[in-house]
Amino acid sequence: AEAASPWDCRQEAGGKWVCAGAEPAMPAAMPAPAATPAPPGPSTPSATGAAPARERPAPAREPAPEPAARPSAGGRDEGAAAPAVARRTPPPLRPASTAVATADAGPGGRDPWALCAVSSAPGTFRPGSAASTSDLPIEVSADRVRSTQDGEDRLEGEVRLTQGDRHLQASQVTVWRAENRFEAEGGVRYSEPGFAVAAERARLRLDERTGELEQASYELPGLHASGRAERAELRSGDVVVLKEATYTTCDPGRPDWELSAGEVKLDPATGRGEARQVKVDFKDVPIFYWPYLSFPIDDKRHTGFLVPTFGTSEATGLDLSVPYYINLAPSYDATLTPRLMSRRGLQVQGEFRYLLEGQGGQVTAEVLPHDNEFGDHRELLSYQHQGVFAPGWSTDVDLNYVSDEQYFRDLGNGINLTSTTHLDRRADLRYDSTYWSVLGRAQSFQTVDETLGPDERPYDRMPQLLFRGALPEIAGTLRTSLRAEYTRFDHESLVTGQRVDLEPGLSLPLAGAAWFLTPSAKYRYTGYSLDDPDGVYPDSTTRALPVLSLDGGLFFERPLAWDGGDYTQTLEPRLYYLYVPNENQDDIPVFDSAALDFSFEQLFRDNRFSGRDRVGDANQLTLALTSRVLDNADGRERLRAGLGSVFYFSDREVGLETGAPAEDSGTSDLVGEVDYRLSDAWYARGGLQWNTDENDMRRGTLQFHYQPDNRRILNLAYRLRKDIDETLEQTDASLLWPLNPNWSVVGRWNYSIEDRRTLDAFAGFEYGSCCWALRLVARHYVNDLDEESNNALYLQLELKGLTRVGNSISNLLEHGILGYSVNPDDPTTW
Amino acid sequence: CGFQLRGSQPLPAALVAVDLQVPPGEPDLQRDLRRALEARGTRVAEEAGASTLRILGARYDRRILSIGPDGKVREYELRYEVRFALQPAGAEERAPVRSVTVLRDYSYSELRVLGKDEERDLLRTEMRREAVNRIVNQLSH
Repeated sequence: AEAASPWDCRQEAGGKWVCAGAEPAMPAAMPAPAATPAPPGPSTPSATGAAPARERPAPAREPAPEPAARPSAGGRDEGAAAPAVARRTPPPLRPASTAVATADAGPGGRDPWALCAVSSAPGTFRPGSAASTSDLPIEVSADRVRSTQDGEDRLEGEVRLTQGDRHLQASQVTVWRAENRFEAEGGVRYSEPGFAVAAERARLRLDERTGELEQASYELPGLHASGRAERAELRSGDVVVLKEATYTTCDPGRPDWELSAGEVKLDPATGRGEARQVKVDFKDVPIFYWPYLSFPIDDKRHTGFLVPTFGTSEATGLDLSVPYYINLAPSYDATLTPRLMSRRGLQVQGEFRYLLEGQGGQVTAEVLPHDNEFGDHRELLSYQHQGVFAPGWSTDVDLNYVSDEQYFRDLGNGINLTSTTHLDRRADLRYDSTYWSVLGRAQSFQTVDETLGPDERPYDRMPQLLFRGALPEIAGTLRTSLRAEYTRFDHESLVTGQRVDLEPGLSLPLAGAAWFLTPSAKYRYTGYSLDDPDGVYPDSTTRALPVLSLDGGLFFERPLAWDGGDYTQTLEPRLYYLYVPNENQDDIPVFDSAALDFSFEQLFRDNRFSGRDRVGDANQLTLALTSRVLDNADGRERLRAGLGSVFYFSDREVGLETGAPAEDSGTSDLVGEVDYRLSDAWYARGGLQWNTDENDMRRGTLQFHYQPDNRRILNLAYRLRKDIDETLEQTDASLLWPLNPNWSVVGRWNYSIEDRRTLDAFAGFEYGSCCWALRLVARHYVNDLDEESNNALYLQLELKGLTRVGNSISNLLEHGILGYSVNPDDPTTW
Repeated sequence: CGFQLRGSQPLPAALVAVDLQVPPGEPDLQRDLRRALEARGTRVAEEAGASTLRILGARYDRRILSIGPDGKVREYELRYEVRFALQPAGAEERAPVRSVTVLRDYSYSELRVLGKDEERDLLRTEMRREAVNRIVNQLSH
């Protein structure tokens, strides 16, 4: 995260300093020169040779994960396109190690270093300009100066050399002018903006820019880091070698954690750092050891080990992952991760990512050759590809395979994985023109739910061809549309078949400032060719129905002074009449239809079923009223409330299942919804579905979300849904709340009122010190019908500026607490 | 109680002509936006003096809203967010990035995978149209 630290300076060949992020400026005021003798010795260059941290000795620092570089970011679940990728030239891929932390603060976006003192120990750190100081004169002061005949100058007592912002201080400095070499002894302190070091002894050759420091302790304020080294060698080519070095981002006086290494080598030419015998101590307890680490020290990507992670969980036991990152080319890379689980065995995970102009994808594979607990080998294979590959042409591919149905429950984590019942295997090819599009799709599913029988598994669509189009408007307003589809449905045990569905439509949207009226007519023709092993369904059948509707509304408005602002309140009555004749559809199997949820939107739809296998008969009129409150300042909707109901003029005969009784009520349930968003900090939503015949609430939701900043989140929700076969009534409360600058609490309680059972509950705390954070969460949850509730304990230790150690607690928190984000300020998610 | 029929509102100058820039991976959003703008009387074209409406990103997310006592998903929430900026022609300052977010939820059943996928696709289409309407409303304000 500190890649663009204002002190990211380096010296060019000519001795000029180039700093990223900081405007070069001349120092405003020179330190008061107590120049007793005239400057002896070397005129140029100056003491800048003593900069062993031209390259930041930041062991084990990794580039921040960059979700935007993942071509399917955010789209893996939903198959959404990744437009940002399509527009740009490929951004650099980054190691996709979710386990590797950035120096970010975790939740809250607070300053992660709020409590750390840095400039305490060596040198005098003077924040100021990092200007080109090499041209400046060197001010020298010393108590005594002695020059010998063989070109040796000896400065003694309170020796100070100052050049701009650079300071060298020692009790004794010997300068060999001819060799351009000097040696400083006794309380050597050197500082420049962004770097300070103290050493017992420093020997430097200025022309070669080589040298060594003994008993050095350094400080890097830009990284909030400090450390020591028994010996620091400056070798040619700006290579820095540190022996017996330490590194911490804690207060130097009191390092709660410290990384130490027998040897650290930083080579700016290759952009690599290497560390040997790496050990991490936390509170003086060794928690990690690794014999060799290779890490990047610049923004380039390099092959090498990423920071290992470990943790424990009930399902896996001790869990250690050591990711190895392979940089293959600027636009593709791979990560290979051995993962050792004490209860299960050794798993190998591999991920290959690529990014092309406008498209990208990834391949993921996990292999566990022998699971000791499960007694067999287990694999996961996954491939995603998305993007536009030629003007108008796009693809979206999502292929997934796991070896067994318990895979995610045993080896995954987080509700989103454990509640997975089906894995998608889908390939879409699409062409878009200005007025029409064609989609070709092949889709099947892997069912990963052992409770589903063969007849309960979904149909494959092998293939689906879909055309959607519209002609340019005729006579200004007349709109045409055509939807045409061919699909072949395949299944192991159920009736299979091919379906052709044609839906031409005409509509005439008429509108004025205060009204709109849209008559529309569609014709739906559907033909089936069926193959039923049981002989229940005919070999072929057709259905042809007109769908007629008339949609109209008025807009009233009035000014509203409310809550100190100028608003406009609208009142929008709307009428929607729908007519569809009844046709018996019992000889048509249900391939891709389901009953649509009754909702405010449903009041204005022309079918009460999704998919193409059922066309609901209708002779009905919807009456609805919407009111909005719009902010005159920016046009945003602050409040929206809607209420509506459908009046049926005939019974609804068509049902999803054969022989389902007709629905004969004269009116629908009353539906209402309220959406109130006063500011960006909070919103409230409510929904209601009320059965007026039985005076019964069929559906009710109330949701409240408060998030004034990333540290404070409060969510409250109540949900009620009464379906024919099942009632769902739940409360869900979650929060993240700071108690003081160090302590925060996290928690969630999702309770089923219907089952009188807690579905998912966790509680815990986050402790954040200035250089480390600890998260401890206890969880009690349901993950299977037959099993008892599970308990788990999650522990995560984050050493800021170094790594995160532990299992995926963030996954749990992000899914459990709406609004929670481990990297809330990460701009790359867009 | 003070309500009156809405009067006709003149098209803001910045919406007379608009150069619409939508990422190539969003053809449906492009079509819906173009149609909604044209319905307001906007000329959608790359021409001199045209404002630039840039769609910076559109993102769908789906999250689990509720699970049943068997640990299976019962309801999902869909969230659709579009970020956009309207840069009037000749304006010196960079136009602020604005966003609209549309939320919907729907029930789920692992016994109706395709039917519920079709419902989700329908909701996504409706959410996109609502987002487009809200964008155009905000811009015409």
